[in-house]
Amino acid sequence: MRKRKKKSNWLRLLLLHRYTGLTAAFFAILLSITGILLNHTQELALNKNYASASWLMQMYGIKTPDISQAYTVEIHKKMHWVMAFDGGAYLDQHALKCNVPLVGALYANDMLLIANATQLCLFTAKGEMIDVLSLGNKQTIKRIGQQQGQSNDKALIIDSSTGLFTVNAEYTALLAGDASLSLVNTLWSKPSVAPDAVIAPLLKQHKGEGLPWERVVLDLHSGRIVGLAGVYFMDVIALLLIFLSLSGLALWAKRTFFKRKNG
Amino acid sequence: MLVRINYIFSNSKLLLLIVGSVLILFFAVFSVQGRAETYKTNDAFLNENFANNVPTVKVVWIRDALKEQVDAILAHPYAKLRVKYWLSGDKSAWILEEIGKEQPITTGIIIQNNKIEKIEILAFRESRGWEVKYPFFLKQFIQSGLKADHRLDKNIDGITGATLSVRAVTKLSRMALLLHKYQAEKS
Repeated sequence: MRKRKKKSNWLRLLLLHRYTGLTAAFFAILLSITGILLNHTQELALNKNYASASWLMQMYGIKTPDISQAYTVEIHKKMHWVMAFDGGAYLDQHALKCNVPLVGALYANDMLLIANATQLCLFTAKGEMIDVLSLGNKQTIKRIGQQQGQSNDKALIIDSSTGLFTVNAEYTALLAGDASLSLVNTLWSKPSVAPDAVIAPLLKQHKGEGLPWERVVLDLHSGRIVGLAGVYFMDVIALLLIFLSLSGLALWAKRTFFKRKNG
Repeated sequence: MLVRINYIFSNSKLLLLIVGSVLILFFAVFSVQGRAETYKTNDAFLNENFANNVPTVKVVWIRDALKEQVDAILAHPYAKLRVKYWLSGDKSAWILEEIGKEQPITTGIIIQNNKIEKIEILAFRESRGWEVKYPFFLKQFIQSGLKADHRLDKNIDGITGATLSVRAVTKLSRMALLLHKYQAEKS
């Protein structure tokens, strides 16, 4: 009776060993392959090659921000782009210290003028901040433009929630508009769609080189690629592999011992 | 469990203690947060100090040697290329901003004869360190000037728990004194 019970325990262990092996097989192969790859990171240049697949980027939470607003400005007879991107303002690829969202951008009086809802930010042609002129409380800027006329000195027009504003000659203060200001003959700064040639370098700058394959393989190996749950799952797989080794040894020892005893 | 809850509700002193503790905790948390406020507008500060006859705004360009000195005082590069100020005789007004920990502190400073005549916190946006707005701290700056090494000639006592705000206000007072001296020498 006792002998039969012992036999059934060994049979149970054998079945458990078999099903554990079937369960862990795929992950044992995955761990082995990623382990080999990690052992040869430098030879395979995994740390110098970068993954760029969008699904992988999404998995890592690397989002690609959109260009919210884009305006063209002509600086020294060359077209440049002022853009709101990833919560900041940019002149081409150069980050500017000006709040977003933007409502307009112009180049006038040797200054780059960028407007957001409450401020007019003044920059040099190179993007160095000169000053910030703020509109009063509870006033918002809707758009900015330049009055067109025969005179070379084109007045800056700021269309706000409380009427028209302009700026003094020294660009040190915003002044409430008088009768000389009008919406007629005003060329407003209008948003455009930035071409890919302008957006691509900005996106590359934002993402850096990208995600090194070494990081992806390492995270596949540790399970971290699917988050903390993946790490715990790989811990369970490791425990299963330990169990497989021990149960395998036990079964081998039992079979060997049994054979010798019967032999 | 139900018996314990019934016991709490039947014991009015215990209930009062629990409600009181929750309220104290609530106010302690919310008094630390959301202290961002404007105490005085820039226009109000200028009108007050120039008797409603605010002079035309002037600018000083932060370039070359002056930029190096300003950057040394702030211990970081100054973000703008120019600073606005208002000048009447030998009295100048400066409205400057410097980050204490995370948010800029707007400070109004009046200088006369190369000495600070008045200093006031116009807007404070940090979650801690608002004590710098009180006169007991700000009066230490009155009649202080700038030494050759661009440090104040008076000792400024700090405030426990407001070290970064104290440091920011002290830097702004030094910067205003430097810029006042610069514009006076230039003109």
